[in-house]
Amino acid sequence: MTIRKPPGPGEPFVRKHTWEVRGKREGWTFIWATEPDAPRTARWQRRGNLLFDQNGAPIGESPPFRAEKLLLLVLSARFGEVLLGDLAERFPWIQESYGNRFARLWYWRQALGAICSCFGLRVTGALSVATVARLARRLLSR
Amino acid sequence: MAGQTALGPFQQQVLYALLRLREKAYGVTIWQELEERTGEALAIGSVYSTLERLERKGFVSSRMGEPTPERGGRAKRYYAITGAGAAALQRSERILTNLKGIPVPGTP
Repeated sequence: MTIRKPPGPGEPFVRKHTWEVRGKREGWTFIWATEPDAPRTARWQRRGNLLFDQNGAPIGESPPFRAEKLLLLVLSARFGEVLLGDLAERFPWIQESYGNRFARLWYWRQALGAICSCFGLRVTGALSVATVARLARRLLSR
Repeated sequence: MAGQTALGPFQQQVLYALLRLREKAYGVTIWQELEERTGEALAIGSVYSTLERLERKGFVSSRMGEPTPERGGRAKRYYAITGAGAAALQRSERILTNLKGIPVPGTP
């Protein structure tokens, strides 16, 4: 894991082939993993619970940081980044329609649901019905 | 072979959503389309796990799009139905049509 300083206010964030999780401490960026086909350009800046655009103008309340971090840690690089983008795109709409508290709960629900779906997929992939039947037959035949 | 190409109801719905959305099909639009058309609240995870399964079967193809500011600079992944996917959907429709004809109990 490498820790780098984020760009200054107004400075475009162009870092190809990386994705990142912003740390709790303002002014630091935690860069964890790489994905070759995920180009990065514009991005938000988080200060506390608020989001600011590249020019420093406030956008709104940010999605729950811990849920984002959990998703990036648990999900594969292929889907984690895209899924976070989808949730980030829909989060402001939920926030406007139902309020911040509901939006945060909604985000957590979606994040945990995605993690469960991801593990469910892996489990069903490894333990197909045929594999389970074969294992059961082997155990019963002893 | 039949087991490999058989589509579940939700997989069919996702493929229909891809057909409707055409080149605009990515996570959020697919999710919204499904919620609007089915009238049910869905989890994004279930949409992605279904897309992953369909892609593994070769029924769906995907490509990375450009990152946008409203997504926090994160890129979209666009999905499209493949020829095999369209054939599987046609087959599912045919099976359903063959099975239809008996009125559902309770309907007028």
